[in-house]
Amino acid sequence: MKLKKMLKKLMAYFDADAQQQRKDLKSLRKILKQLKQKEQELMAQLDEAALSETRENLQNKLDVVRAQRAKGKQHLLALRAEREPSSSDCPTSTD
Amino acid sequence: MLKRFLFPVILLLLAYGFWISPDFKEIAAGIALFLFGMVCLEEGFKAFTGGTLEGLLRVSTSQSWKSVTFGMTATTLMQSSTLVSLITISFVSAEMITLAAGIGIIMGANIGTTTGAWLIAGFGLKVDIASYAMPAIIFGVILFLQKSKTLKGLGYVLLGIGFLFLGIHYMKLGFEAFQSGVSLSEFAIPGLVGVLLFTLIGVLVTVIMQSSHATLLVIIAALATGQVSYENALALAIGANLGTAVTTALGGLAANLSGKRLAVAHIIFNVITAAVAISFINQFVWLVDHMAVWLGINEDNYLLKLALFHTLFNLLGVVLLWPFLYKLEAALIRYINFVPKGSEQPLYLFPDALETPSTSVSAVRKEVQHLFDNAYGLLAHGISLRRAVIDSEEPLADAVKYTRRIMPLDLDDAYENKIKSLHSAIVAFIGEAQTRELTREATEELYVLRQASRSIVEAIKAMKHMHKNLSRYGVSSQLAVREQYDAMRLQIAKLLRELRDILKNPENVTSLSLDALTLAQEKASQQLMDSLDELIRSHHIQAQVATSVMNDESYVMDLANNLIKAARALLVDPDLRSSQTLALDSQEIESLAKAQNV
Repeated sequence: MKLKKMLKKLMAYFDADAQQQRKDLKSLRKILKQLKQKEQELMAQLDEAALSETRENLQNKLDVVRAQRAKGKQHLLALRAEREPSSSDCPTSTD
Repeated sequence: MLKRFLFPVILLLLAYGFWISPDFKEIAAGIALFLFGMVCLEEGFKAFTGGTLEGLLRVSTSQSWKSVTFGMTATTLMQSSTLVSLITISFVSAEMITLAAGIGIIMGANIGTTTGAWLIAGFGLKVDIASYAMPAIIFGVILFLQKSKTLKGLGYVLLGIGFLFLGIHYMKLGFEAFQSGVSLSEFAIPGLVGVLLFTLIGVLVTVIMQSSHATLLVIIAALATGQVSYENALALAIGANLGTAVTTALGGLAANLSGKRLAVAHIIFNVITAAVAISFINQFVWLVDHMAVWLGINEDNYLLKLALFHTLFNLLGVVLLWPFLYKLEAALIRYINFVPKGSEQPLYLFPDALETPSTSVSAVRKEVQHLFDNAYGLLAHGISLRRAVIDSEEPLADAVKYTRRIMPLDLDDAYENKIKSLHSAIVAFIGEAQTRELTREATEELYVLRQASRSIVEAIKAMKHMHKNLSRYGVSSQLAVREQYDAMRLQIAKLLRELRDILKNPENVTSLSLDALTLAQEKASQQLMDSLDELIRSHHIQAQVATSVMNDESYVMDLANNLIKAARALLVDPDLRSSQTLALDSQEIESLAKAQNV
C-alpha cells in the first residue's frame, strides 16, 4: 500500500498539469507576500505623508493593493481546492 | 561602386589563375572549403544561441578576468574570433554587457584564436586529416537533414569541422605540388622592410578572406612546404592578427555608439599588439627559441614555433593593456560621442543587434524605452509643464494652477521627427528580426513591444487631438472652463510622474503597480464628469464648450490607457502569469473608483 502511495506521488510529481499548478501556487504565494509587504510600506508612508496630493496617491495605491490581495487569496484557495489531498507540497500561510 | 567593379575582376583573375596553374586551383579550393567550413560552424553555433550563449555571456562578464577567460574559451571552442567579436559587438550595442566587458572578451578572443594555429600546425598537417573529414561530413549531412533545430545545429557543426579539415587537406596538397614548380621563398625579404611588407600582405589577405584562421592556415601550409621563410611567416601572422581587427571593426563601425566604441577598442588593441610585436620581433624570436626548448619543440619545427610566436605576442598584448582596460573604456566613452541629428534616429537598432534573438529583443526594448522617453517629453510640453517640474517632487496641482501661458508646440512636426521616425524604425527592425531564426519567447516579446510602440504613438495622437482646445481654453478667462482643462492637465501630469517612477527600474516592479494608475485615471474621469454635470446644470458652462470638454476627457483617457499599456510591455515581470490573475479588471477598477469618490 505504501508503495502504491509513493508511486502515485511520484507520478503526480512528473505530471505536467500538476507541475504547472505547483508553479502557479508558488508564484502566487510569492506575489501575495510581496503585496503584503507593499501594503505595510504604504501604510507607514501614509502615516508620515503631509501633502493631500501625496496622501490621496498613497491611499489609492493602498486600496488597489488590498483589492489585489483579496483577489489573490480567493484564487489561492481555489487552486488549493483543485489539488489532490495527497500532494507533496505543504501549504504555508500567506498572512 | 568600387566593390561592384572589383568583384567581377577578382572572379576573372581567379579563373585565369585556375587555367594556368592546377596547383593554384587546389590551394584556392582548399581555402574555399575551409571558409565554407567556418560558415557552417557559425550557423551551427547560432542554433545554440537561443539562450545558452547569452546566459553564459551575462554571468561570465561581471569581472575583467572573467571576460577575458570567456573570450578565450568561446573562440577556442568555436574556432572563430570573428563570430565571438560580432556577438560581443551586438551585446555591447544592446547594452546587455558593459563596454569594459566587451573589450575583455575581444582580448580573450585574440588569445583563443591562437589555438587554431596550434591545431593546424600540431595536428592538421601531420595526419591524414581527410580521413577525419569524411565521417564528419557524412554524419553532418544526416543530422542537417533532420527537423529538430538542435540536431540541425549539430549537423552544421560537424559539417563545419569536416569542411575545415578537407580544406586543410587540399591546401596542403596544393602547396606541396606548388613547391615542385615555384619557390616563393626566393622572394623572401629580410630585415624591417620584409617584416613591414609581409605584415601588410597578412592584413590584406585576412581582410579579403574575412578570416584570420584561413590566413594562418595558408601561412602554415606555405611555411610547411618552404614557400615562405620563417621570419616572413612571423610577419604574416602579425598581419593576420591586425587584419582580423579591420574585419570586425568594419562590422562594428556600422553599429550604434557602443558598437563603434568597441570597434575602436579592438583596432587600438590589435594595433598596439602588432606594433609591439614588430618593434621587438628579434626579442620575440629569441624568446620563442628558448621556450620551444623548454616545451620540447624541435629546433627546426618552424610550424609549432610559429604557433608559439602567435600565442606569445597576443598574450603580451593582453598583459600590456589589461591594467588600462577601465581607463580605455572611460576614454572611449569620453571621446566617442553621439551627435543628435534633426529627425530622431534610433539609438539601439543596428544590424549587429539582429545576431541573436535575445539581442534583437533587448535592442527593441531599449528603443521602445527611448520612444517612451521622447513621448514623455512631448506630452509634458503638450500640457505646458516643463519636464523638470514633472520630474521634481513639486506639487503638480500648484504647477498646473499657476501656469501663466500655454507653451507653443508644433505637435505635427514634433510627432513626425521624434515619434513617427522611431516607431517606423522599430517596426522595420522587428520585421527584419522576424525573417531570422527566433525562439517562441522572442517572437512573443517582439510582438508585445511592437504593440507598446503603437500604443505610444496612439497616446501622442490623442494629445494632438486635444492640444488645440487645451491651448484655447487652458488660459481661458472663464474660470469654470479653465478648471476643467486644468483637471485634465493635472491628470496627465500625475500619470507621467508615476510612470517615470515605475519605469526607473522596470526589473524591480511588477505589472500590478499599474492598476493604481488605472484606478487614478478612472477616479479622475468620474470626478471630471460629475463636475461637468454640475456646471451644465447650473449653467456655468455653455453646451458647446461642455461637449469639447467631454471629447477631450475621452482623449485624455485614451492617452492614459495607451501609456499604461506601453508601460506594461516595458516592465519585466518574472511572475507574469500570477500578476495577470491578480490584476484588477475594468469592473473592479470602476467599483473601487466609485467607492473612493463617495
